[in-house]
Amino acid sequence: MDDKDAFLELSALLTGLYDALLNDPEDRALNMPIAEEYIRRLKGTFPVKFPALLDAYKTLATTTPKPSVDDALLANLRGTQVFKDNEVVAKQIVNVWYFSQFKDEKDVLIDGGFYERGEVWSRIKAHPIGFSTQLHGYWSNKPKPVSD
Amino acid sequence: MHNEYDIIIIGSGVAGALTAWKLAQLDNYKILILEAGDNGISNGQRLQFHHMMDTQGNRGDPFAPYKDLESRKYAPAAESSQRELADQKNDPNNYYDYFQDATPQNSDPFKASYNRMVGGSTWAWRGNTPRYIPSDFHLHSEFGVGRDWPLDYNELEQWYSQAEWELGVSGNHDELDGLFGGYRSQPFPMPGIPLGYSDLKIKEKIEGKTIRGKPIHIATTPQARNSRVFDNRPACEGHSNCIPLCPIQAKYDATVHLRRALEHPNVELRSGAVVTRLEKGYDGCVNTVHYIDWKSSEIPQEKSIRGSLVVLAAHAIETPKLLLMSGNLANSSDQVGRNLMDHIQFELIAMFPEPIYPFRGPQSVTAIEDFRDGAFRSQRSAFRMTIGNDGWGRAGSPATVIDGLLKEGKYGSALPGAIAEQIPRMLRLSFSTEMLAEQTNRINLSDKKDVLGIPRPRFNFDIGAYVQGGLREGYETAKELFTVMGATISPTAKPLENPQTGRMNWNTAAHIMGTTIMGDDPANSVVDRWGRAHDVPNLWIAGSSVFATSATSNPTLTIAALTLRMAHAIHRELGGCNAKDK
Repeated sequence: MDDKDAFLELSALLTGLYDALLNDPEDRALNMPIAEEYIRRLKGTFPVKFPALLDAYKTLATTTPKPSVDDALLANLRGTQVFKDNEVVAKQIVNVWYFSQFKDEKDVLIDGGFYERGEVWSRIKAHPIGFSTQLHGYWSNKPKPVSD
Repeated sequence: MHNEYDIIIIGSGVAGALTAWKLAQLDNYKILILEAGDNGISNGQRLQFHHMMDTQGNRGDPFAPYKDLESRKYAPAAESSQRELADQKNDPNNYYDYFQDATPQNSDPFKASYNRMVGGSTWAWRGNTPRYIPSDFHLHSEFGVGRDWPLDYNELEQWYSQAEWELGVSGNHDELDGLFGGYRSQPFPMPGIPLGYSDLKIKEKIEGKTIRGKPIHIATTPQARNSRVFDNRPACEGHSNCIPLCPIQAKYDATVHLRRALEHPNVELRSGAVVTRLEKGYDGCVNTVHYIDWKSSEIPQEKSIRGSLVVLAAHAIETPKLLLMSGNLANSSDQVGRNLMDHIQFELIAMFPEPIYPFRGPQSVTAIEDFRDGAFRSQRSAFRMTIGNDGWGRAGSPATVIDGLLKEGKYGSALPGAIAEQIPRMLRLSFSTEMLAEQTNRINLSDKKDVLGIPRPRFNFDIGAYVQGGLREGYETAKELFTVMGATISPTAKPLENPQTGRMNWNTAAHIMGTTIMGDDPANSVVDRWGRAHDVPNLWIAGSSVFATSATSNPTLTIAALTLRMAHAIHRELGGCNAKDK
């Protein structure tokens, strides 16, 4: 399992964004270059802890037969000492997918490079702050349901 | 020696820009604007600033879009001043300095900052433009506290109306005409911004209910934000990024009037020019402005320029600082730098009982004006309460909620649903209290210098018992409002009292006022009722540094009204001191 596939699976596991990152082929393809960039930036920020967490995931995910990527696997991962030691990175993986921003261990905000693609906005039925695509007064109305 | 300019204006924020534009309109004056910062004012520059925020990430930080500006080195500002006193004092790079004996037990930090840029702090303002109410002008006469202004609401009313047209204020006349006696002679240029879905849901719950003895009315905040195409600027599209920067300039900023002023061939802007001293001649008038030009060559150059009249419009920290650096200029009253005020603010955060979908539309559309006046002002401050449309505002971003969910272990498939359930219920109520003009709240010159060798400001600041009383009342009011709404106060909400220091937790509204205070008596004020320095006949001061009371209104509309009025006074009186001596 290469780093990219492992990172996408680990990301889906942590964020719950299974469709966007794994199941929907179109979304997955769109998210592939984003994942590559996130790997680069996370590795640069957490040069020891990020690979450690990713390796821990690979160890669990490459057993035979390959386990399903689901909450049961997440529970196994969270039960490991490696996860406990590196949970700070797990949290930042969640942040980078939802906001395209994450923090280093000194709490400094780091740009993920894809601000407008943050996954949080559609889930809260808003737009990325600073990037409305709607007309004057839209905010008076209840937002329409957004399908995943 | 001949004067090279009729008028030299120091500072290009809303006060400086309006002064330049209005005087250029009134006559063919030769005007120079000196500005410490250096940035463009084109739409292209705006877009560049906007995209800068994508990489800075910290939306809501008034300095986030401007991190690449070279002027940050030569015209520094207190970019990290939203910190407690110990943090500020322990940071050697903090622009603000404090008196040595200031401790968290006996002093408060000064948390407000400002933008030293072409266009000033309107690069980072919310855009709210309520007027003062009549009693705000005679606080001492009516309540026995603070000061009176040398003018009243009646005198300023016509200028408020003009300012609303110049800035492009949207608002609902009927909601605000007669507010605590504050009549409106003209309608707003535009109807009010439409209420948000969140405002409508909140209104359903609290409108007309009696809270702490007052019936509650939710009113649309008057705001310099277009509700239709106005002044060749578009209607608000609800980008939810009002602070710091509206990407489409539906929100007014001072670049509007700067651009207009610079269309006049006799108006010149010189940026990258940090003024260091005003020099008086034998006639008692200021005739020379000394400044450091940091951008024209590798090494900053000291330069000077002569003018017949000087308008100081460098906001309420740099303006008094410059007077003190000029040999205690205009300070026979010993009031320069004193009477420092801010709006001391607190945000109480909660979860509304159902989704109200914040982060759509302006960051705040509505307010509760009902607590801005009353006999209680003899004992404690009034407050103005705003209803946020930006979740928990400065008290917490959506990331705060996700962080809380992860702390509960909500990784995985439970997370997207929890996010969708919680973040759309985020709500804040913010209240801004009024400070009194106090002699002991002041800025002075520090012996610590900035990179150009200019003294940094040194503060002595204590919000005082009057504000604390207002904060306590605001806190109780917000709690009761949340109870009536059925909202649950967030467990992450900061308590009002800080047990570590025995003082209060609060935020700044970054509304800096009072440091060159206005009055009729030269013995206890710096400028007269028109804004002219009592001691120096050709020196005028524009901006909130002349405010005699802070009241509860955001200051910019009052700055604009006073500035327009001052420009006419300058025009009338040019000819009194060295005028046209060129």
